[in-house]
This record gives sequence, C-alpha cells and structure tokens, in this order.
Amino acid sequence: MTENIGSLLTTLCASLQTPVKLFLSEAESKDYPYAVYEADYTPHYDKDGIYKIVADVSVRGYSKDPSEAQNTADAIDSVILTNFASGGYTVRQISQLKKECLQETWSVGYQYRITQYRTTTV
Amino acid sequence: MTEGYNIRIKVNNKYLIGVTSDEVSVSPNTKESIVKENSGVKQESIVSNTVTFSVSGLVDMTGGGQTMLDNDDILELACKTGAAAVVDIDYVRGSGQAYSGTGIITGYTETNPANPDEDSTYNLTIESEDLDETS
Repeated sequence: MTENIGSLLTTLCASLQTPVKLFLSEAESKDYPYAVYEADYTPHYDKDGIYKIVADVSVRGYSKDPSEAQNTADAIDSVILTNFASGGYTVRQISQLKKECLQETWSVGYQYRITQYRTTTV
Repeated sequence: MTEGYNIRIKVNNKYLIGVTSDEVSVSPNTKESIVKENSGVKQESIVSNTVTFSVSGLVDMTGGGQTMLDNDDILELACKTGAAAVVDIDYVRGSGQAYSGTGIITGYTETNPANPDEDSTYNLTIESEDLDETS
C-alpha cells in the first residue's frame, strides 16, 4: 500500500465551499487564506507488507485576519474529521495548536493522528 | 541473509492472516537406557522431536479468502477436539528447504486493548511431532 493521506488532504481543502490552498511544510503563495500541513508517517508491517500507516499531522490556517485564520482552520478541521472517519482511515484530533501571529499573519491549527489501513486482502 | 517475511507457516494449506512474527523451536524427546554392556554409563537417544511454532499476528476477521485463514477460521480450528483438531502444517522458508507434517493447536490468545493506537493481536501455538522435510 502507498500513503495517500497528504494528497487526500489537498483534495479535501480544494473542495471546500471556500477552497483553501494547502501546502506541505512551506507556503508557496501570498494569497490569503491558505493552509500548511506537516506530516510524520510511520508504516507498520505484517508479513504481507505494510498494513497501516500512522500519520501525525498538523494543519494550520493562515490569514491576515485572525477570524479568517480561525474559520479556515475550523473548516479544514471539519472536513478532516468527516472524511477520514471511514473508507480505510481513522482520525483523532489530538490537540489545538497555539494561535500565533508572525509578521502580521495569523495562524490557527489542529493536530491529528490519521491512520490509513490496507483495504485489500493479499 | 533471508528477510523474515519470507519464512511463514501454513495451516491446512493456507497462510495465517496478519502475521507479524513467528518462532520455531525444536525440542528432542530423549530416552535413557542402560544395559550391562554400557559399563554403568547411561545411554541417551532421541526418539522424536517436538517442533513448536509460536505465531504472533494482528486480529483480522474480514475474511481470508482462498489463501488465508482469518481469525474466525483460526479460533474455530483452535476450539476443535479429537481427530478434527489435527491440522496440516507447512513451514515455508523462502528459497530454503520446506517442511511439512501434522500438528495440533496447543494455545490461542487474543489481546484487545482499548488504546486506539494499539491493534488487537493474537498468539497461536502449534506443536508437531512429525514435521519432516518436504520432498
């Protein structure tokens, strides 16, 4: 199995009612709002290969307006908790990240543990 | 060097599902004897070997299909008695020599933790007295 949590996250953010551009690790845009995620993946093996991938994921919404940053993070939070709850995935929200303001840009985010399971029997 | 995933046990010609590790141990069963020609020194000979397989795996009840035994199948086998409890064993060792024989399941345990970061796991013990090289 191959990990596809990141690509699914990107697709989900693009499909929001107000689409949000999601970047891995570093923003590649100055158009607010946008979101950035970090992910740390741990594969788990049985004798048929990888049976699950556990991802510790943090997602932050960025905006010049603190409310918009909060709304962006909340919209992404909702779509993550809904769409990773089934279909070969499980998700738990671990914590809310500290609200930050850096160079007049606000960021709000959440941390998750998302697990992707092998869906086909070998 | 042989990767561990290439070495697996088959029960009734099917692999066990979700196996994360397994062990095999061979214990000789010996018999002591002494006759006067032995000049007071006991003689010990191996009359048979008990081969024990200890398998650890992840609980999976989604159906093993044609090639796998899932945990419903494994528990069903573990609960059998008498002649019905005897299973066929094949020990496949990558590109090495294969072994086969019959055995019985002498232990089955499941561990089901509440922590969502931990998986339900099982341990299975199988003993065989007649495991031999597959020709």
